[in-house]
Amino acid sequence: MPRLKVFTILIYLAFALVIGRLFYWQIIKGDALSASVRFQHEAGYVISAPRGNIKAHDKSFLVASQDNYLLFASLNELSLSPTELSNELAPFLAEDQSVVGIKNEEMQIKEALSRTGVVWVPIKHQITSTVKKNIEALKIRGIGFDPEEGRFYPEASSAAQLLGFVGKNSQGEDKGYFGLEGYYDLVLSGKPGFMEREEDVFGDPILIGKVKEIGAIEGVDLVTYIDKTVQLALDVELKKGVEKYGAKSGSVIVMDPMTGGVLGMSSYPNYDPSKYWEYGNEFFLNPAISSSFEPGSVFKVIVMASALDAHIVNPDTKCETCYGPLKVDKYSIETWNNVYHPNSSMTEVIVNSDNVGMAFTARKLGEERMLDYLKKFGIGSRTEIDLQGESSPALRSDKDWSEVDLVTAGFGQGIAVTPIQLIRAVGAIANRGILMKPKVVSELTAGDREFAVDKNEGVRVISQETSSLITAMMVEAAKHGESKWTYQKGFKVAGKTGTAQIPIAGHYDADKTNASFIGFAPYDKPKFIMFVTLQEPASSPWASETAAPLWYTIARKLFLYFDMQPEGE
Amino acid sequence: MRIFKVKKHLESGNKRNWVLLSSLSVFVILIISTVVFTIYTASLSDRVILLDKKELTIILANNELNHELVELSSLTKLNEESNLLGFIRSSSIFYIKSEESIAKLP
Repeated sequence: MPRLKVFTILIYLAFALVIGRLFYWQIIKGDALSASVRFQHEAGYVISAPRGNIKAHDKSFLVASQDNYLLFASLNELSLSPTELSNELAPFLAEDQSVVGIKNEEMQIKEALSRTGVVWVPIKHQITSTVKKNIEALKIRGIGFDPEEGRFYPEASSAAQLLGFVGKNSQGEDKGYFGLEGYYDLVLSGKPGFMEREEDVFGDPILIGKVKEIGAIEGVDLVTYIDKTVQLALDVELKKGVEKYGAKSGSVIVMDPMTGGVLGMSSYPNYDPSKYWEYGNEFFLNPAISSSFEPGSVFKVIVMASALDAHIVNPDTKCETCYGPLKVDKYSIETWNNVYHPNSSMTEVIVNSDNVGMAFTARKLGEERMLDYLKKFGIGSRTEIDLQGESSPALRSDKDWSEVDLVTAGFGQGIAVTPIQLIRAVGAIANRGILMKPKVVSELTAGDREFAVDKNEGVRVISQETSSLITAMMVEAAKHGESKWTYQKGFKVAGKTGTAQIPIAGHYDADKTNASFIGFAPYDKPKFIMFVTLQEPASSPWASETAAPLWYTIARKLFLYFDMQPEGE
Repeated sequence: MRIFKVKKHLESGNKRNWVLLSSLSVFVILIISTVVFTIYTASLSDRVILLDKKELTIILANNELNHELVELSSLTKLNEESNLLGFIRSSSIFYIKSEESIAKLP
């Protein structure tokens, strides 16, 4: 009997020991043990959020997201030697398919494979699915592919500075730089999701296991005002124009003056956004929104519009100082061709692009009113166009204006603007006196949902009557001004040339000029306003022989595209 | 009295057998259902993996088709191809008034 009791007690003790041990492992050490083996059965994945696309106004693609791949090698598993592998891969990976190009690629691959102390090496980033398929067909052991997102530009380098590009930030994450990619980076990027689940030894999910999922939010698509036909016409003709006139560079902007929507924006030289790393930083800035220049005579229409709106002058007001050079302080104001037109009307002042006449107008307008109007026209402040990289040259402070500054500003010297500021200001003349904010994006779309961007109301800067008067002057300038030889009869063009000397170290360069032409058509109901500027054209210093013919070359394409018929004039 | 005792003994024996049989059945059912459930979830898991793989294939195919569409919608390429095929832009444009008659019969 005592033996039975001892045995029973021992059984109970053993049982208690097992329970105690289980309690220790499962309750006390449970969390720690679970944590130490979690990596064996729990796996986490980042759910990628594809970057949004950028579309033209007809919803065709300007930039599209695409599946690209990173090609890598697991050195321990490679079936080929580094030399053999580089020989096999180079023909598929070399961008330059010449013998030298392929040899260079071979060297690069070999260099990557010869790294010591590592088992995994990346060979090439951003390879396309077609290249991936071709390489997979070789059935080489030890190489693999990791998906990575890429950007595809169906129109190559068209509108490159306007679109910007996607590079990497300091954390190695994709980030948009410059243009639309930079300005709308946050909405384009979306938000990646994350999934954590329990998996079996083969990596297959355990259905009754734990699953945590945070869904990815895809990037939003941008629909722009950009018209591909207009944009491509600008790209092609600007390149030809820059080459033909031997200019250092050039920019063109086409805008709908009624909405402020940018229909096209091109600068040359430009770059290929899909290979942005091959270009220097100077290519990335968009000169159309960031480069400031003295506008010269194209600015006369803004000063004249201000004087007309302030009722200081009317189109028939006679210039009392236009008989010869005008002495202001120690400076002498002369006309561009040293021809003087005594008692010319304000319309003639614009038609003849008369500096002395504009000096007369500026003096009559006075410093305070001039500054007031310039600020209203947006000179000296950013247009707030939805592109990254806009800059604005500051307007001289109110107290720093001298008599000479006032007079020279009358004909666009001693004052700096950017092309976008200028087209916006003259756009107000085309839009019956209402200044619009230039916009590139018209709406954001996410799946089937569409969101309009903030409404562009516009601000009145001059009266409708003034806008009609200054438009009539611009029509006369286009017909009878120095660029009359290139005028396209019947298309109701209002325009103005501008040849500006380039300021260098406190004086003006005697040989170099910036040539510009700004105009809109048809003047009674404009379908577009276009600004063309060429830096340092070599064939002729005059805008009437460079920027103006280029403006009309592009305009002739636009007349056709916008269904504009010539009318008897 | 003895007969009653024997009967009682037999009854309690039957009851014990019945409890044992029931417990055994429950235990067997439990084991079988656990096995069946495990097989079922394993096969479901397999189906989920299959569906996951199918989804990925479809997504990749869709992306490739999208890419093809984007590539084909390129105006630059269309321009190049039309030039190769011999299409050229007219260098001079003639505008005709809508009311003007062309080759009108007398």
